[in-house]
Amino acid sequence: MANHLKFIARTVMVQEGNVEGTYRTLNRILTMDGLTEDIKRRRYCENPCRRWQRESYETCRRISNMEMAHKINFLMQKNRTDPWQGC
Amino acid sequence: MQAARSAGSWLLRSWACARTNRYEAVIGTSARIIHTGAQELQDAAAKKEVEKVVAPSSSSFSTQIQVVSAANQPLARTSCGTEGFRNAKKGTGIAAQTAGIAAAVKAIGKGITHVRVVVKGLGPGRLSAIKGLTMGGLEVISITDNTPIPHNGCRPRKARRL
Repeated sequence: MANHLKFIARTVMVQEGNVEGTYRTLNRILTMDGLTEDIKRRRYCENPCRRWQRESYETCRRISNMEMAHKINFLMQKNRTDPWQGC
Repeated sequence: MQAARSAGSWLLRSWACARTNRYEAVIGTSARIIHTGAQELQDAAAKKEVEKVVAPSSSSFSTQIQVVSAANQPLARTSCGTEGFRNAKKGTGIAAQTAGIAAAVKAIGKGITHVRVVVKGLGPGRLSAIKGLTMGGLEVISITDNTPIPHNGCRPRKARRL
């Protein structure tokens, strides 16, 4: 990063001497932006074949997780019609 | 920031100088920079800084710390190897912490109080080195992550077969 300005990107300022919390914030930002797993992935070379397999696996997993969360949210609704009405 | 980036190098330099001056005005002492390099194969005799992950015979990590002034003048340099740890023990958090304390002591000897930390690489000593710096008595202002991410540059080594 010699060509870029320093201390702008990926920087967290320390508040009131709380270095631990700052470090955790930095880690959280990096993970949320997908940088940490990118670094781990770049350690070893990844075939294009393996890479497509992994991306399709991640897409399918994301779709299935979202569908499941949608279903659970629907089932946990409170205003339901009374199933045993009239008994 | 956008204007500074698009304008030119002279504007960058003046903006950077203004930034340092602001720190000096607020804090009262000059801010120094520390570069923490994790995942570097360290040889205490050769003092080469090579960014490698694993040594061919044994998997070994290490942490190196270098204290640099605001004008990129090197001031102090310690590492797990210079602290007397050998081989696999260099790749531990304790070794990184002792390296941090030693670097802090050296830096305070040269008259540095406040410090900006730049972390490079993912390794076992990433947090321990910063903790060692604070334990040694330096005040950390900000933590930057400067892990080198190639935009598809060099080809990394082949995948491990587990």
